[in-house]
Amino acid sequence: MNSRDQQLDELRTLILKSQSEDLSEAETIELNRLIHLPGGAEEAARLVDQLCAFTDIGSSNFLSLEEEQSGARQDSHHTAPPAFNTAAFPEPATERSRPVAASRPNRPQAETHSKNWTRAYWLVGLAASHLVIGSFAWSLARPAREVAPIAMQTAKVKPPQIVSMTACVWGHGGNSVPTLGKPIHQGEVLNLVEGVAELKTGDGTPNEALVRIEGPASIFIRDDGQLGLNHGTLTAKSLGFGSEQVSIITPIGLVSVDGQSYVGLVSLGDSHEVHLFSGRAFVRPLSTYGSSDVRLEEGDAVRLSTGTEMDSGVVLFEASMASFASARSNAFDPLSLDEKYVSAVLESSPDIYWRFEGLEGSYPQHVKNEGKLPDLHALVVGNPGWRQYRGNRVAELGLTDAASAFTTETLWPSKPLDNYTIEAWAKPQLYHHGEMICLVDPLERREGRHDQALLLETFAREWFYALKVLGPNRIRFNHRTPPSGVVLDGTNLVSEDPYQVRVWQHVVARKSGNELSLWIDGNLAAQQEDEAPLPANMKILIGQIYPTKNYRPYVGQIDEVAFYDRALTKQEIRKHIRASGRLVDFD
Amino acid sequence: MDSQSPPPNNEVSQEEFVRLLSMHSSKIMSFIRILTMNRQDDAEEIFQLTCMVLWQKFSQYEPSGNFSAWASRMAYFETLKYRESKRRIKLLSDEAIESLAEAAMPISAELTDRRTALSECIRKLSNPDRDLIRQRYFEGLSVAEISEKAGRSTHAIYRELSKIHGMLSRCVDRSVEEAWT
Repeated sequence: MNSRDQQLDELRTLILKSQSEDLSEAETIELNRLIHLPGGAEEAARLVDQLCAFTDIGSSNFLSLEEEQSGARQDSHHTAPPAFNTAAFPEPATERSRPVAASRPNRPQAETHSKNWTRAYWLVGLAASHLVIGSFAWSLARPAREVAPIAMQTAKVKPPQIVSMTACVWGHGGNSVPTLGKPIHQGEVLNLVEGVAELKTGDGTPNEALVRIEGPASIFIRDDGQLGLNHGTLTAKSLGFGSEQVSIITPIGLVSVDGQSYVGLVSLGDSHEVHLFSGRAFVRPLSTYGSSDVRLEEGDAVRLSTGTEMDSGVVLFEASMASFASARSNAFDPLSLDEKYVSAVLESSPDIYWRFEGLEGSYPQHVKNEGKLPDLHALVVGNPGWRQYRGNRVAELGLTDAASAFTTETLWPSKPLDNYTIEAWAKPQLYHHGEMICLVDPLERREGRHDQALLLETFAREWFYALKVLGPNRIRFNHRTPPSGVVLDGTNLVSEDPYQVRVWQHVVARKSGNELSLWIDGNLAAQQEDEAPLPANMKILIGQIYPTKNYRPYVGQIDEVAFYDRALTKQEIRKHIRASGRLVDFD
Repeated sequence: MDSQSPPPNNEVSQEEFVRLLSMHSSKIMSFIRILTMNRQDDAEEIFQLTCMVLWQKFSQYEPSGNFSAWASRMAYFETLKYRESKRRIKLLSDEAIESLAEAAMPISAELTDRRTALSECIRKLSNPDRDLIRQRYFEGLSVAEISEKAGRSTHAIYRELSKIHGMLSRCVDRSVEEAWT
């Protein structure tokens, strides 16, 4: 141990000691000296943060240790933090789990107050909740708002619950990570980073509604069991009858929806939209917007913004489902390809061509390679789904928590490539961060992680600072030589425009000499220079980033994946698209 | 929270305050807990004082700003004031608190990620190390009790715990960084 490590060790020891006994004067002076050393304050902060986490265990459970002993492992991507979720507001006292170690007589001082501590969270929740309601009541008390929605008069409050989740990633900042079927209580804030979560509110009451939240979005649960939207996108179908049965507090004010109505809300930055697809709705803007109530009829939409653009203020326009991924069915936009398309691709002589028309062979079954190289079949990982369109079958991935992907046993390419093309049809189901196609070093780095040589992925509205720079909801093509696991290594190409959800897009990642390019629907979407060749002997993955870990799954459909050991020309790319028979405008 | 606090000038502020406080309360709380060295009674009081001040000064908050950072700054000042008011022996000097506040900000911002990582990192500990963590924090034994059971000095147990916490810190940092690669 070097001198710096020794000093940090001494610092941690003193902090640990200070948790259960008084330090001597000399020790206190030493503690303060050590904190001022380079890295001392950071080390102290990390340690105290750990101690806080351990303190919270008193009101949590033994999950993290007990699971290890029973040998159970959880995939971290789709599950909530198991034992240290201190961000959670406590459940009401009657339902709160009893602190496991609360009865220990010798529990250190810092741990004996866990009840008080959780009470503090509860107080905040309560205060916040009361303020929401106070504010809500205040806004309703304005002259134009004499009639409170029925929701406010309903005595019996049914807490909402999640009824389905698709590829949901719940983020920090919220105070709860919801579980399917469990009630979500008033005051709770849910932060959905990615995916689509479906909630049932007011089950069995006149305020019953089915609400789909599309990540990234943040909502909170009001005192009356209905929802508030902090930001993001949601759709709501009111299932009851009567006027203004369902209401949602939004950053622009109150949106009330009649029974049997269907509404979509988008609240991003300064711009807020309400789309009415069916039924009737009222928007009661806050006074800031200087607008009176807006009554929407079927097909109407209204945008309220505080920006400085031309259309700031209140703008009425036509409602559109295009902004709402969850409003479209998975079957929307079929991909019907015939032999004409297949011939066009085969004429370009791909090394690998997976059509996903079906599985062959014994376990593990595979999708046959119809390209020129022998073997290089796409082996099934987990349990991919399938969807049949007229004359064409496609793979449907990422719709369950189980793995659903494809990989190769044989490696590709056989030698480093200065020129290559990867081509696919992709229909992402939602905005998310998912691996459509990647090439990874077959050598496992550790714990199932592999370095990546190429990523072709869908991007979300990133919450991680390093990736925010790449822009939200784009397609990203990353070429990394040498392969690496570091987030921004290599050359990054990001499509100029966001991709479309539930719509097929033709995607091409190409290297031609020093020039890397990304093509979407036959149009150049991004271009950069990188002279390094694609490394040889990589493992191909479709649908996830690591061969044996269901991590960063691609959610959506994919078809007709082809790998070439040369750069297709623009004319060839467009010829393939024309052969698909789809109507695409080329620039 | 004091309901008599002067309200900001309009209902937008009121709703916005609730929204922002709801979103960031756990981060602010985490930040204060680090500054109080995990002394919960103190942290609880400072948190409530901070909420009051945030409410009173909300009209000064720049809407496009970073609420969490703004609130943490207020929490830092409230911590200093609170320490003064208590007039008791201070474990850390004001200068040390300032350094700690600077270091605590990014840590509290990654609260959930760090908790998730910590769970995973505990699983990776060797059995003896995990046993020690279990006894100290899960079973609530004091260091004196553990040392008595193990037939070792309390100092040796503190050093052992320090070593394990050091490993956990490094593991958590690495995991939070690598989770995104």
